[in-house]
Parts: sequence; C-alpha cells; structure tokens
Amino acid sequence: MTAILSIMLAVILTNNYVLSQFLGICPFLGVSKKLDSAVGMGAAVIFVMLMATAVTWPIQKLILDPLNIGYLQTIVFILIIASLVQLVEMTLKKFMPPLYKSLGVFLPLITTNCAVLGLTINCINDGLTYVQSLFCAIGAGIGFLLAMVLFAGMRERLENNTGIPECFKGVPITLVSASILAMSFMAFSGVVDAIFA
Amino acid sequence: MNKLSILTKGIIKENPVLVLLLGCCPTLAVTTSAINGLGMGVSTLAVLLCANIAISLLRNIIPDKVRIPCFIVVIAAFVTIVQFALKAYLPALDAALGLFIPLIVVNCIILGRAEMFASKNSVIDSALDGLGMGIGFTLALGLMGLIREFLGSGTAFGIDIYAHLGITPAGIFMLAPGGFFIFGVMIAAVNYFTKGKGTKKEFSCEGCLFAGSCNPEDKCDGKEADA
Amino acid sequence: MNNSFFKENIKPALVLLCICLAATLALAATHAVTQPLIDQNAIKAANEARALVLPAGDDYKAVSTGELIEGVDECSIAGNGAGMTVTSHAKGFGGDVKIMVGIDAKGEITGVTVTEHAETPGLGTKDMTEEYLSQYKGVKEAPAAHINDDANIDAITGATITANAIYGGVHLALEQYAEVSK
Repeated sequence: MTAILSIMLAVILTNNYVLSQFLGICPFLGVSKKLDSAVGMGAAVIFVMLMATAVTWPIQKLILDPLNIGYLQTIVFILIIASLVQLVEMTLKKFMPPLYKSLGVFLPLITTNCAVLGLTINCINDGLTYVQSLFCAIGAGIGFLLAMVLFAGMRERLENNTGIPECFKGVPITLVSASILAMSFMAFSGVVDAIFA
Repeated sequence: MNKLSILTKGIIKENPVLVLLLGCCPTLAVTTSAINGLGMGVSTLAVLLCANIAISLLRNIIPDKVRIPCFIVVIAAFVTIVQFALKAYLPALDAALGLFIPLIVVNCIILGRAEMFASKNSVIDSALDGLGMGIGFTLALGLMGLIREFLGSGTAFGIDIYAHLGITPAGIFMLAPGGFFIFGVMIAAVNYFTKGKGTKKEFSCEGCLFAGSCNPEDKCDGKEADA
Repeated sequence: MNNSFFKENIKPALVLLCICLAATLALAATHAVTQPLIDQNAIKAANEARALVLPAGDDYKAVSTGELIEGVDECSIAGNGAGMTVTSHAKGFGGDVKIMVGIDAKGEITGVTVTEHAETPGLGTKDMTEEYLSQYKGVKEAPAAHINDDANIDAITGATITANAIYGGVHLALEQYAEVSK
C-alpha cells in the first residue's frame, strides 16, 4: 500500500511528467489557454493512460517477453495506443454522446502525446507490477491534469498583462511562465520520500 | 520549388523547433549538454530521412484509408533500428538520451513531414526535405544544449570553460525550469531579430498529424483553434 | 465480392499487413546483428565499474539472487580471491541512488562509485566526486543509522540526503559482505 501511494505521489508531484520529465509538452502548451479545455484534455489523458497501461503491460509480459521479441516493443505499443484511442473515440461517440462531446475533441491529439507512450515504456523499464503500473498511470494522469489546470490559471492572468516586452509576447512568455511553475514543483523533491521514509 | 530551397527551408525559414515549434519534448528534455542535443538531433535526422524516403517510395501503394497506421509502423521500425544501433555502437549516448529515443516515434516533426510532404512528393524531394528538417532540428538542439551546458555546468562540449576560475555554474539551467526558460528566451531572440515575423504567434494545429483529419465544424471551433 | 469491395477493404488490410511483416523482419535482422554487441557492452561497462572499485579483482562470479539481502542488487565474487563487488541502492533526494562498492578479502572497502542516480546536478552530485568518495577507502563498518551520527565519515553541507543515501548503500554492501563471508 505505501509502495503504491509513494509511486503515485512521486509521479504527481516530484517526477511530474510535464514539469520535470518533459513528456507531453505539446498538449501542455497547446491546450492550456482556457481552463475548461485544460480540464477536458487532462481528463481524457488520465483515461487513455489508464487504458493504455492496462493493455500494454499484459502484452509485454504475456506475449513479447515469453516469445523473446521484446525488440518489437516500440512498434507494438504505439500501434496499441493509436488503435485504443480510435476505439475509445468510436465507443464514446456511439454510447456516451455527452462524454464524447466534452472529451472527444481531445482524443485524436492524444495519440501523439509522448506522455502516454513514455508512461507505458516506463512502467516496463521500472519493473513495476501490474497493480503498481495501473496506479502509476492514474498518478501520471492526475499529475498531467494538475499541471494543465495550474498553468491554465497562470495563462489567463497573462492574457491581460500589458507589461510584456514585444518580442516576448505569445510563445516565449508562456515558456518563461512554465519555467516558474516547474521551479515551484521542484520544491516537492525529497518531500515524498521523507513522508514514506 | 527548386531542390536547394527544399533543403534549406528546414534549416532557417521553417526551422522545426524555433519557427514551427514542433518536437518540444525532446528539445527541452535532452538538451542538458551540447553533445546530447546533437546526438538527439542526428538520431532524429536519421529516422526522418529514412522514413521520408520509405514513405515516398510507398506513397502509391499505401491506400489512403490506412495511411496513418502505415506511417506509424514505418517510423517505429526505423526508430527501433536507430535505438539498437545506438545501444550497440554508442552506449553512452543511448544512456544519456534514454526514454527519448523510443519517443522519437511520436515526435510530431516526423509524422508531420510524412503526412504533409513525403506522401505527396518524389523520393529525391522527400529525402532533401527530411535532410533539411533534420539539420534544422539538430542545429537548434545543439545550440540549446550548448547554452544550457555553458550556463549550467560551465563547460562546452565537455571542455571546462570557467569552472576552474572558481565561478560556480548555475545548476538550475540543467534542470526543468532552466530548460523552459532558455527555450523561451531563444524564441524571444528569434522574434526580436525577425521583428516578430519569424516564429508562429501561438501553438497551433499546423504540423500536427491530425490537422488534416480535424473536422473544422466539429473539432476546430474555438477549442482546437487555440490548441 | 466485387472489385470495389476488394479495393475498399481487403487491399488496405493487406498492404498494412505486408508493411508490418517487412518492418518485423527488418527489426529481427537488426536485433540479431546488434544484440551480441549490446550484451558485450553491458559486460564491458560492468567490468569497467568493477575495475574502478576493486582494481585487483578478476574473473567475477555472481552470487545467486536468493542470497542477496534487501537493497542489494548484485554481488560478484572475484575468482582470484581479491574480494567482491556489491551493487546496492538507497533513497536519495530524487529517488534511488545506486552505488557499487568494492570490498577486499580483509573486509576493507577498496572503492565506491555511484552508478545511477537522479540527484540535483551541482548539489547532490557534490557527493559523487572521487575526492569525496575516497574517504570510504579502508573503511570496515558503517553502522550508524544516519551519516551525521558516524564520526568517521563526513557529509557535505547542503547535500546531506545524497551523502546519507551513499552511506546507506555502503552499509548494505558491508552487510552483504558479512552475509556472504559467513
């Protein structure tokens, strides 16, 4: 139990996928301009991360490893993620239109979100068990959502700021704010380990 | 378009990192030293060049319906080959780049060029396009790695510059916040020298694999427009 | 089954299948060529690390995993009787710090090196210089619960957590040595 909690807290706070591991930067910068789209994207990512890990982990352990074809990992995982995203999109569209309306638009963008592929490979590389991997996926997704929401809040403030130098307007100031947010997350380093020490 | 301009447009005018803002993740993650940045750039260049050539060769065979899965398989195969080559011949670089080697698969530059250029143009043009974009990517990553290495560990290409003078380097430039900051300042510099005409004003769908499949009424209303 | 059905459904599936097959074959070939080299590299890297911490050692034989205590990843005994190398890990500031310790036949440490870590550059890494780690040479025991309680070993101010992780790893390595030498 403590192992699971410490894995989750680590990926949410200290090893946040976006702010300290640089995974999933494109959607983080692209979809964080408005709070509601940031929440939608974050929720969709949690969902896809959980599904992807739930499928890739058994495939690695039950098919790729026993057959000694671990070298197909990258190719198999990305295909699974791509088809999974398609499948989820079609299912939601057919059976849960309200949910599709709020999450559906973000789904195609998630295939090329490197945080999802990165997570599934990380779970295998770190030798996590199946249950640990699933909680790690939820944690990584929550960490992504947290970073998105906090950053969307920062960017809404930036909108009305008139003191930004001309050449820093737009993308550069967004990156500088991301830098400050990442710095504040650094303060969590050591905290998680101290809690469970 | 003549051959030379296909090659050079990726290096300066349409630099994938500093102008098109593609492939942000590896740009930020592996540029803790100039060598790592260049290593990542060259690995990506190799994949980009091979994938562009292969997809251009196959462009008349691949049915439109399954083109994206086909592109992904071709790209993933080349990425894995590069990964094995690095592990076998340059293990130190492989250890430094780690997870970001398999993640070249989802680098939007590669899927973007496959979809927008290689699937529509001749083999030679596609190869030149891949080469140009790859060189542009490599130069941007190398430059950013050099700046971060100089500020963060006081070295350039591993050679001590000022640490022996008793000046402590600012280690934060090696960490996540420093990465975001330097990237922001570099883009601001491009803006300054091109008077705002260089870099795109905002992160956008352009260059994204799904930009084409994105239905304007359904998906790009408001939410996706600023995505 | 008419021609358009074939064109719409069967052909795309066939093309995708062929591309997948070709990709798999290419990967299998690359894997067959590079795997021996990759294995050699891993052995070479492990041997280089061992030569650093236990220069006199040679012809290593790994202790079976059942005999390893918790926190120890690997333990190899030198065939020429020079001693053993132990790889262990302990929690640092940014996750586990993995170290390799060389211990000679008398139970004295001959060298310590950090093999894997995610500590803060310029801060935690101060504890990983050869100069700092050389204080462990000749040490026979690291019994304290925290590095600050051990008068023989110094910690670096501002980087105590990393120093303590290394200390903890050394403690485990010496315990493993005692376990194997029993």
